[in-house]
Amino acid sequence: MKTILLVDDEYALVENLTELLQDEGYRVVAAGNGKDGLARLRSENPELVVTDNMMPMADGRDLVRGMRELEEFRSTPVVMMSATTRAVALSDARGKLEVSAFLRKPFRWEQFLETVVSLIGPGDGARRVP
Amino acid sequence: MTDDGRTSTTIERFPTGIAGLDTILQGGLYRGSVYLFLAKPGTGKTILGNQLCFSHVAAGGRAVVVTLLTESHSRLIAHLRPFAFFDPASVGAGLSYVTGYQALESGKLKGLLSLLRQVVRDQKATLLVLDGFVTAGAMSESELDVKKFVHELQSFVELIGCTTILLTGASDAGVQYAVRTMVDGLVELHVDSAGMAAVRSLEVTKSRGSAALMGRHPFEITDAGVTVFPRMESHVGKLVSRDDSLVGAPVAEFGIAGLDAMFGGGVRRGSLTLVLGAPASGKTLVGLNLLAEGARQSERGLYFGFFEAAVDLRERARATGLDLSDFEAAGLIDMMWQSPVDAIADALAVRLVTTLRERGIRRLVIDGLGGFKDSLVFAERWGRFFLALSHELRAMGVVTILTDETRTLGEFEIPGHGLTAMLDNILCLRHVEVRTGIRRVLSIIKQRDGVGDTSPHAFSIDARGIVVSPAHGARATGGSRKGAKATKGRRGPSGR
Repeated sequence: MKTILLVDDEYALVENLTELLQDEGYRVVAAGNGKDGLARLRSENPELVVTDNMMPMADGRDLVRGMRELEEFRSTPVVMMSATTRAVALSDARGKLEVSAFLRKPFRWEQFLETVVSLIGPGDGARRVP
Repeated sequence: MTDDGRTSTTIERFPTGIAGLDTILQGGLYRGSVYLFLAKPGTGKTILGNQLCFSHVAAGGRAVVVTLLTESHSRLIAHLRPFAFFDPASVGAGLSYVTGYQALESGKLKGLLSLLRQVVRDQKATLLVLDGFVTAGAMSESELDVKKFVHELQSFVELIGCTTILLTGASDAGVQYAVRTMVDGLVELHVDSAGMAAVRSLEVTKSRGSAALMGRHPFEITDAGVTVFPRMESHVGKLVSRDDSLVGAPVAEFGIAGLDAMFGGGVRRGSLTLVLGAPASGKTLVGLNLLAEGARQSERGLYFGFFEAAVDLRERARATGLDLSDFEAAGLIDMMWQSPVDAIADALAVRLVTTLRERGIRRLVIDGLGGFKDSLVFAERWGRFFLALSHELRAMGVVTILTDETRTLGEFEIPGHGLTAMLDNILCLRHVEVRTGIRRVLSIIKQRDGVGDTSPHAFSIDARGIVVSPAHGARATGGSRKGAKATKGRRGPSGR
């Protein structure tokens, strides 16, 4: 089962995306900030990282920079989510970041799922009992 | 690679399909937002919630109603069946009914949330109505639980794009407050006593991301379902500038020679003229003459009356030589009668303005103002209500005659409801005692462009019509009806 690391301090969004992604047949591990996200990255070895930008402790940019410093996660796809524009979210004083996809909040589930599938393919099938 | 999702940041709206409500919401409901509809039992929230669903499905959406310890679905559907919005083909197709109580009882708010997530996705719902939300509040262990539930629900429906309406008659002030702070929109329904009657009203007290017409707006529940009437003064006539001077505007004649002469040719287009007088003083007849004169010039007129049946009016007019039947048959004069009893002033105003627009009406008689006043539940609204209505009529360029009754026969009586500043002309019809008899006298007591003759004129009403005599010491102003002799054969619609 493909694993997605979902990093966001907005707990309701994490809860909902986790349930929806699980229904699609993905394994989801969650973290509430960039620091925890980096720790879970090493322990869970995900196929995809989906992260918010503005978070306490360490933000999404810190997480992506931390990932890129790790050889084994240098090519792991990253989806950045933010209420700001792509240009603002992906650049700061330290320079510009490259991510696989950017989703501006608020977004719709269909848009989110389409992005995930385009990067790591579909999940292992519906878990939900009709 | 996904773009920066600019389009997703503009939350789209969809119309509710309920007359008047979209005007109040300034464009409908936001997709993926959560609204709380708060009302005491019996106010009409379940009808409103279900009507929203049927309208949504009729417009191509999909809806789910989840109930929590409300009436059974079979009874609910039976109660909805008589309404015009009810479409049996929608039930079980685009619109589903689901009971949520078992999920709530076994899994508390988390269980209910799971059920909502499941049904919304299964049904591909774009509108969710949760009826009986008060039960969810009662089953929660704390206010925090309820807030958490609403927060998670809000996040979910935003993701899915399913607009959600929570219907509640919540009595728990704490829970109510907690939910109020969370939701995107709050709509309160009220029923107030007005003497022995009850009046329903709707109020949008919170509307995130959009302006709304604030304050209470009357609504009614009829066979058609819920119809909301945005408060006249909250949306009509606001954009009309009073720079639209009447000076120089073309005049509209009454077709009563002496009276037209007194007004310097007639009354201005877009003006409002109050005809004041005691009962049976001839107010209505003055108005009907204005309509008939317009009809002779192929201008459409509307008689908007409250107290006198059209058949009686036609008879009274005929007795003065004014036959309206040909004008009516030609569609040049419309008679609209409405009962002021239990009427909603805002509904009357909507009906009036809609008719004026649809029929291209150029001349209007409102007979009388008392009909509007009596249908206003809150009398303190009268000045603002009338101001909004008068601005609208003026903006449409309609020549308006308003009649109102005085309580005296002979003395001047200025209307005591603060209207005079909004009126362009005031014509007063009086009865004056002269030696052993009573004479009718008319006077212009206000004319905005001030070109007319303000001296009192005696007048009579007989088979020749309204005959205005010259003022004492003035030269004659002509016959009863302008060119009456010459117009004998042109009283019909094709006369000119």
